[in-house]
Amino acid sequence: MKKRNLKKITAVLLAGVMAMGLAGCGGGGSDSGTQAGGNGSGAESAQPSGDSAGGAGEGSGGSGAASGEKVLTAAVSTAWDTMMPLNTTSNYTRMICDQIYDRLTQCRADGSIEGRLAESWEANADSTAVTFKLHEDAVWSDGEPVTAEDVVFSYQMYSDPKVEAKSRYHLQYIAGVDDSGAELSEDSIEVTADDEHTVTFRLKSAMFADTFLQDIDTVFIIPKHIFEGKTAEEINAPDLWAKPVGSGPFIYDSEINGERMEFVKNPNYYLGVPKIDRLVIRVTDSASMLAGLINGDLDLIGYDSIIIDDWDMAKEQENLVTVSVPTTSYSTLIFNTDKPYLGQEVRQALSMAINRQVLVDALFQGEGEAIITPFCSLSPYYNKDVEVWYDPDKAKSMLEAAGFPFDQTLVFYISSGSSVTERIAALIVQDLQKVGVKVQIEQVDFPTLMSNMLDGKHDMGIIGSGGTMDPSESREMIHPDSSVNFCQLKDTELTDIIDKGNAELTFEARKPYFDEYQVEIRERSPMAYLYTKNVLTAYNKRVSGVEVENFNSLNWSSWNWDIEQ
Amino acid sequence: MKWKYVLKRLLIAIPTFLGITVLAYFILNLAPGSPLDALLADPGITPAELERKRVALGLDQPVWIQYIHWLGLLLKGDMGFSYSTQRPVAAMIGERLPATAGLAAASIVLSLIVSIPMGIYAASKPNSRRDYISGGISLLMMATPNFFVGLVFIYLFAIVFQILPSGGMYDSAGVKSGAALLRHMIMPCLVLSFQQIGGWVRHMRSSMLEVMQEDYIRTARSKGLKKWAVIYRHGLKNALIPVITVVGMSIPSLVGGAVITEQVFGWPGVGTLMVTAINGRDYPVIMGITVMIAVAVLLANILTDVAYGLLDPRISYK
Repeated sequence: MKKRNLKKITAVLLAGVMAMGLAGCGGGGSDSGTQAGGNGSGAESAQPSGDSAGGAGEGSGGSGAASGEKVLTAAVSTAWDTMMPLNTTSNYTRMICDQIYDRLTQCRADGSIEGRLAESWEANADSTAVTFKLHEDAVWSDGEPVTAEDVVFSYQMYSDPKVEAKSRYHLQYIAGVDDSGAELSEDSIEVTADDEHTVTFRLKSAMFADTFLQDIDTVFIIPKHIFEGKTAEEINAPDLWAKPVGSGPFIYDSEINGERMEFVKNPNYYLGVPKIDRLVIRVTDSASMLAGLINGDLDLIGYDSIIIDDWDMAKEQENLVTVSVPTTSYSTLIFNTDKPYLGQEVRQALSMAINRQVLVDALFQGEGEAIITPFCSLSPYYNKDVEVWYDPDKAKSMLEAAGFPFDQTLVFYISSGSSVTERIAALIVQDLQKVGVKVQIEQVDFPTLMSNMLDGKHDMGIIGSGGTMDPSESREMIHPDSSVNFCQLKDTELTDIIDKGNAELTFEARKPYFDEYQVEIRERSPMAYLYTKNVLTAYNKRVSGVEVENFNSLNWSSWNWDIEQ
Repeated sequence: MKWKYVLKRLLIAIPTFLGITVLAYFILNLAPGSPLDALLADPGITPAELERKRVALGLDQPVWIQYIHWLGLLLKGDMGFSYSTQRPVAAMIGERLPATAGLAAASIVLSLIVSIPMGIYAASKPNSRRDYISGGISLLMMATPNFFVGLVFIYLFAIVFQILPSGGMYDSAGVKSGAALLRHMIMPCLVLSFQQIGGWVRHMRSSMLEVMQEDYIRTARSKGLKKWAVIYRHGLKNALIPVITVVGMSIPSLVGGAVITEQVFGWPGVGTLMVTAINGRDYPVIMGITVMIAVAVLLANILTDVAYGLLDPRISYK
């Protein structure tokens, strides 16, 4: 009798757990507009919210598998922060926007440039202007044609200082804007439509066209007919962007904020109709990515790396293709050049005391490359004569010769949240202790790291950079007027070399300057460049048409992706 | 009498709440790094652009002016707009709240279902083998960090047995049904309950042991009642009272979210939103979540105290 009572209570409680969970979460789905109409419980339909209409209303999400839809799921480790392509510095947001919108060109891993909305492009004779020919059959997802006027409008919108546009600085090389990319007067940016499908960009000065193209490769083209005549306040608010009209390979379908975004294919995409019907981008912690790939929840990794501790297990999986992709992403040890005891000889000695190969071998199982300049061997500008140095004995004598105060404890900032960075820092501290230098690690979160290093509170600090194929990529970090001058450099000796190289218009003419730059940056050692790290990625064998080596260059070309059912 | 007490407690809660917001706001602003520093993740941004943003976000104003401005909006029911998404903070939190509340509620109920019988079982024969085993297991559960349990569960259930999804809320393909949701919820719910159960078992056990020493239990026994009848009918009811406090303290997790568990399982709750907001120094969102948690804690405290009084006639309110 009593036993039966207990059972009854347990059963009721269990039912309660499930009901509560369901009620709670079901609401969650509907709030963010993901519950396709007609499949859920009654609670859903009554909830109005900003983005709930979002195209999911058709019920396409619900009927997906039943109708034999080809669905591909890509994982990213971090959620996008906005739907506004111009107001972000997040590459995760850019990957989302890249599905919805188009850009003129995109880069490949080898640094070459391929067309997107631009079918072809050409610099003029003195390389002060670039003219793009647009695809004539490009259309917006609402059926309107994409024209040169849309491109002009987009660049005007990006350059309007009243509009919130964190990406604006990518316009910096175009004539008619200031260094931050803001227009000098109303619509002063010199981007003009020559005819319906031709658009010309005038540049501030003659420059290597590829550098310009690489810089604008995250500027997306916005539909003029949707945004024309809207005030800055309306553009800055998220509402207009919530149900985007784009010309990209996919069309926004629905979102569960912080968990996924779903897209359906754009049946009119001019570079080829996507082979998959539905693209799901899922936010997945790096530590659980491999598990998702193994059990088939995820099909590929969109923009991240499997953690190194999982790499051996990943390679053993029969259902996965694993690729270790060399990249330009590097980590560097910043020195505060402003500190009197961190003179050039001392910095060289500290840099020389670090065994970079051990870092790469111990922490990345060799899936990386030791570097001494921001250039790795992938770059066509790589100067192989500037060798990575490691000589603790010489380092020690150099420190003694420079009169380094060995009783001084150096403050070494690293950002929290990455066990790799922690281990790197520990190894560096060991290396430096071997030459008699005392170091104290200060671990802080990213904004604190930035703030403290800008204020010069550090002696050393580790920072990562995505790097690009553009040889002038590192200029920002070493220019005295830059907002990221963590080395506290006061002169432009190094950036002058870069600027001279950038003034040349061919690879052959540029190469000698960048060769010299690599010699000089090792000599001055404002920072000790440490290593580049491979992206360790994997995708399901059912997936085809993916070029994972381009993913790190923000190039998915997702319309080529296919998946076996 | 009782209502007067509740009213009094509510009135006391108001200055407490204001105090929390002042502290949170100023500590947040004292922390090194500002919303602008978070922008430096993209190194091309120019100092002029940063300055423009500083003015646009009102960060050039003194902190106390920013605080008064924020509080003024809050009193009008407006939590402001996120710096990074430009969306209303209330909407952003509202979107995440059901996922968090659902998960937390399920885990509280599950924890109760497991820990109450386990605690009774352990207390039924103190210092016996069953007591030591249950004590050992609950200590182990308490001492195991959530992320570790999460990864072990993922390894077992998603990789080795492949019976549960590795994360997220729904499958990629197919209907977003309640069943799919339930399947995705099992692992995070188990992980979230893991530590909780460990602690609650210990509470239940000690509370039960205390009650079993009471005179009325001895009376019941001497009446010749069976052992389990004494435990359930006379012991349990009274032993549950102190447990209410413990459960009450877990109520704020309904809105606060479980940062690590949500992260590991890609569960889109308030916890992950909080982490993103802190890393981006998104002040309005951080403050919005802080306010919500503060309110939940204050209310849960009052509720717990009132419930205590209702259940335990020995306690009276003045």
